[in-house]
Amino acid sequence: MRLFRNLNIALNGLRANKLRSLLTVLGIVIGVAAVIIMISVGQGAQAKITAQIESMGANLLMVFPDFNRGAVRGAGGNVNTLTREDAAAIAGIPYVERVAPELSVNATIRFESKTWTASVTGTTPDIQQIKNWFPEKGSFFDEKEITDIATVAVIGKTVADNILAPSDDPVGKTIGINNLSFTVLGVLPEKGASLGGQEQDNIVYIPISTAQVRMLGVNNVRLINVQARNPESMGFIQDLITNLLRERHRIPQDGNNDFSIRNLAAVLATAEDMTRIMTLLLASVAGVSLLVGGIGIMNIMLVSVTERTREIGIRMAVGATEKAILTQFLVEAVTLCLLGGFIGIVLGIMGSRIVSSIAGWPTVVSFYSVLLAVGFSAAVGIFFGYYPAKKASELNPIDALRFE
Amino acid sequence: MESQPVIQLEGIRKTYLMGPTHVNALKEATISIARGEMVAIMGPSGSGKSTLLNIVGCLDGPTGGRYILDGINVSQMSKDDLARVRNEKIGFIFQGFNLLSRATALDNVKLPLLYADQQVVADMDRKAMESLSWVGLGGHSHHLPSQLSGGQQQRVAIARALINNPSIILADEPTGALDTRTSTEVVDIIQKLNIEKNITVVMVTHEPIIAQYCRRIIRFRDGRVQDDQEITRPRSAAEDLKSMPVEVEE
Repeated sequence: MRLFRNLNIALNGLRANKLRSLLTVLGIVIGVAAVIIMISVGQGAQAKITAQIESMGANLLMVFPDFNRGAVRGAGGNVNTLTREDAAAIAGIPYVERVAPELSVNATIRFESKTWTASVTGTTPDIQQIKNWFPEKGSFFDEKEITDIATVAVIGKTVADNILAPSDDPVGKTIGINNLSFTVLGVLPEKGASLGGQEQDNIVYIPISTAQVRMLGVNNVRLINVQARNPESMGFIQDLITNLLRERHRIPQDGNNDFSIRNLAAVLATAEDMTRIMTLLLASVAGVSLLVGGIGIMNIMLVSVTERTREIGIRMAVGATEKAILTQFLVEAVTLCLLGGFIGIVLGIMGSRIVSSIAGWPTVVSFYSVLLAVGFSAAVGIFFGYYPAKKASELNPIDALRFE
Repeated sequence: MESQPVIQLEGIRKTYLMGPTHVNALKEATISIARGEMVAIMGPSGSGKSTLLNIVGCLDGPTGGRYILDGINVSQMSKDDLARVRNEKIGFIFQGFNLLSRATALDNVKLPLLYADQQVVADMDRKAMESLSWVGLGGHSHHLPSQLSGGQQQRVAIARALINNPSIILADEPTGALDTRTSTEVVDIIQKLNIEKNITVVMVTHEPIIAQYCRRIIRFRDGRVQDDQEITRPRSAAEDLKSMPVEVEE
């Protein structure tokens, strides 16, 4: 009841000075809106990066031939240290869920009169589970077609869109790849651009054996995708792969690896750390503007105390205690800040939407960032409102009444 | 109850420290004012009359002596207790009206109730309206002070002083900013509240004519009571108003 009455006194005070109240809260409005926009943009960026890395494959290790050190051993600079046999051996390591080698080459795809250049990649059926990417029409090739070195292909969305008419059923069509005829088994759904901005849908998957024997005439692979059963096992799987490949490639004790292993979980963690730091950085810059807004509130409250000295004297003369005056001015400051906070939240949410439509990534206005903004603005109100309120409450009623 | 004075000052002293020197604003004041009296306090500036009013109004505590207001010793009270006493027992009327400029007449009158205990919001408006009507401004409740004449503003201030049904009303040069007719009107209301509501009035004034409306005049000089004089037949403001020309208010 007491609090309600104090709130009422304070609100009347603010209502009596509408324009000034509004100008006072502007700093807080901008500060809160900035904090919300920055946090939501940061979290949106983080979510987008995470999603993109995960689209490359969950719990994924990628084994590459090492171009720098391995080339010393390779004949004529030809990097051919990794083979399908290496892949098969890696598949035997405990906690390895799936293994899929890849060997790609850019090639011209032909269908009837149309031609198109795409990345033709030899692989195994496990690539579907590793990349969580299954044909939307038709099916993938299987182990038998690898054994048979069959000329079958699964095509990406971009390839399908560029060589086939929308009305065509791609399944069963015969396409030409570098003068060889392939039967289309299926079409993969759209995956979008990768983290590096690379187009992932301009692809044709063919059996790894076909790529090695019929397309390129080699027996190495370009990389081996290794999927771990869970994130925790990735570290020791990485160690086991290193030991296994060093043994298989007969690398002496003091020799350098002729391969390198990229841990996508580590990449993901680094990227998440970076965006988190970015978010924090952006939010602290926004926080500074909130602080400046708070100082603005203190400034206005101090002016207001001086300007309203006589009012304070009148209130004291009719029986306001020090505590009542302190509460009134504190409530005024906090109300101003909260008012600014709420306007700021609305503007912040609108701003986030605008940023998300311009930047093209989803922004996440989290409950926690709103809570943070409101809490912060109330704290700013109490912190910066206390000093002026204290000053007001300590006025001597006689001097205050005489104040001109 | 009636036998006990409502204001009892015993040997009140007040010393201010101004730089290195002590200023004895009040040297020794012993005054007793009975319930229902209407007293004028007069004296040249620096005589201590304003200091006395501040002490009687519980805005300031005495350096020495005893002040008993309505049976309560208030001389050594804490600031918060003094605020409470001001709220419950004292109504102030000032020379400069001292209304909140951005609040309506009704809100101004209501102000003391906001700081009183146990008030119901609906009651506050009703009480404030009653008080405003009593001073004849029932129709001006939603006017701002700037929309009222000086006399009307002072009447709003009187309504505010009345609202808590105080034991005493202290008026500090209540007519100082008003012309003769308006002054007389304001004094008329003060006389009425003294007689009809039996509220004790203490009024500081330097206008002898205004003092003539009181029933007792206490004169101060150099921090002491110089003279304490009963007026057997005080003037009646209501009578005087009848003989005054009515000025047209715009």
